Amino acid sequence: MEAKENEKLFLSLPQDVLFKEILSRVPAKSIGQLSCVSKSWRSSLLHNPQLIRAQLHRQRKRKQKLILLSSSPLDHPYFITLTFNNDNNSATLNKSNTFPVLTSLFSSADKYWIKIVGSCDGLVLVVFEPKRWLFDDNKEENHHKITLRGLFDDEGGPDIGNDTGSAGTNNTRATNRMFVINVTTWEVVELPNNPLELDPYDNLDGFTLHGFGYDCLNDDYKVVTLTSYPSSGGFCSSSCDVDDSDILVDVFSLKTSTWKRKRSCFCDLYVPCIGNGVFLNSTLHWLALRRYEGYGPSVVIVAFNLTSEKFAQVPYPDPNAVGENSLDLNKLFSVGGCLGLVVSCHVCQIDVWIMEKYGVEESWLPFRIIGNGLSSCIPVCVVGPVEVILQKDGKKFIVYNLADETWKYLVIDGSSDGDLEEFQCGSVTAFLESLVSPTSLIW
Amino acid sequence: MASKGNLTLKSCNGKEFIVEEKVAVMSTTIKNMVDVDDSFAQGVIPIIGVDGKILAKLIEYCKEHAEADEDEEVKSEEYLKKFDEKFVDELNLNDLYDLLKASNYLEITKLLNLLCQKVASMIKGKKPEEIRRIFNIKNDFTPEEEEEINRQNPWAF
Repeated sequence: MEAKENEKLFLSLPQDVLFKEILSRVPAKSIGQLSCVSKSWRSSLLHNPQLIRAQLHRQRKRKQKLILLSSSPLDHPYFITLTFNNDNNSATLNKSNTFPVLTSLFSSADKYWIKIVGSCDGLVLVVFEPKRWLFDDNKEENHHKITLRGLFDDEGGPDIGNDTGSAGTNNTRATNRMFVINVTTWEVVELPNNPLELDPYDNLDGFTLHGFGYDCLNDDYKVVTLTSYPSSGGFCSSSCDVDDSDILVDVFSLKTSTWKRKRSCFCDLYVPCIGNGVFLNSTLHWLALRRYEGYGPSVVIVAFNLTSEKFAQVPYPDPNAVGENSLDLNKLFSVGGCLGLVVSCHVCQIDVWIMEKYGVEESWLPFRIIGNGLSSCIPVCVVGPVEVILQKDGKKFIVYNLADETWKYLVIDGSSDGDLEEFQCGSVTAFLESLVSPTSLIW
Repeated sequence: MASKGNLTLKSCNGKEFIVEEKVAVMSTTIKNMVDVDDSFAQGVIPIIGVDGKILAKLIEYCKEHAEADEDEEVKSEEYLKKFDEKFVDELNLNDLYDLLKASNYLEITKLLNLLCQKVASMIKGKKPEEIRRIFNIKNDFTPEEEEEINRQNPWAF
């Protein structure tokens, strides 16, 4: 009798108390265990939208984790997660081999670039892009392009030079494949192919940029692709000709599971620069170049609002204050709820701007990360009141202390040399633990 | 009849408690009643659905915290923290549950928070069998069902 009573006891608490006040404080993993306790607990907790939102709400205030890809030449790639410890100076590494859907793709990883595009509410967008670049006749030019892409540290994949001509042929014609993964619950959903997409093999000079975010008005997660179909010439970079390429904008809604084309929404004046969309405020951001010379800065920040599905511009810091600036070094990021911009890297300092109030030009604050050897660092996430994690040279992780302007390598599983050879360059995303299910979003 | 500055609270099983107003109004629900209707301040305030044992517990908690809010010298933060710890540790499962319900109904935010944290900490990092033991829950899955569940969420283990 006693047992029977207690079984229902806590479940009969008002839902506001049970979900918002109690279970939201419990890590996602523990909720997974709790749902295995009894039938009534299972039916109350599993895929309960109220619980998912409550848990997410509290997690947003917590420390994020990092997901990245391994790149051992001896093994297929797999995901690695880093969980920051309470001291904010060290992290625990977990290897995750457990996405059965992805296993076969990982085992043919030499045919794909694997990109971890971005993360939102615990969901991560991973894109497998066929290495069609390798099969272009003009290898010289190709290599040049890939190098440019590499500058932005967005590309996964092993070193180009070693891979040319290996595995995969023109006949294979692998298509782009996209997956939305909840890294905590191991749920994976593959997005249907974009029927509007042109055959990438007919567009060897083009490129596709991806973005992933949340449309809070429609409670929907969306994937955005910007595809360039240049008539000639290549990627946008300060050192490249900016020509008459077309940008096609396609939006995928996870809720309706459909692709929509937002043709020409991308302002004619701008050409996006290589990089994944940076998500903040229901909006994806990319750096872009002014296509035609004119007044104002040549680099702009374009913002695609996921609710209105329209582009706008977010003000760029005052170019006079930014000073000497090269687009190659520009990099957008989002850290601690603010949009940030790396504008230049020197041997011992990185100039960063942070937009304290979203959309307000005057709120851009310059901010300098100083430290010998800290060139080519990009902020990845905030782990403490004064601790920011930077990624150096696309692989090593550094804990930078804002208060005393010191830095040290992140201690990973007790090892403090920061030398993480087995991590793949680039492709790292901060995510939070959540119960959001990518599969139950699709009706 | 309570003297000035005091309120009379009556539990659902008829027990009356005379408490200082500053203690009683730790509960937002009681505060609203007193603010809106002066007769409550004079007469008896019925606390629906809360029995005498639980009401006494609530008053014990509110008394300590009201006094601490008034005079930090006497009851320091340190003291309160120790008091809170002891307070929740001494509760059995049924009391914990009843207090949760009562502090939610009476809107005693601080206490509700404390109790919710306590329950969360009882769940955190525990395996299903441990949770069953702590909360006295019967495992009503068949071994086959249990196996299937473990296959469905391997991430939790």
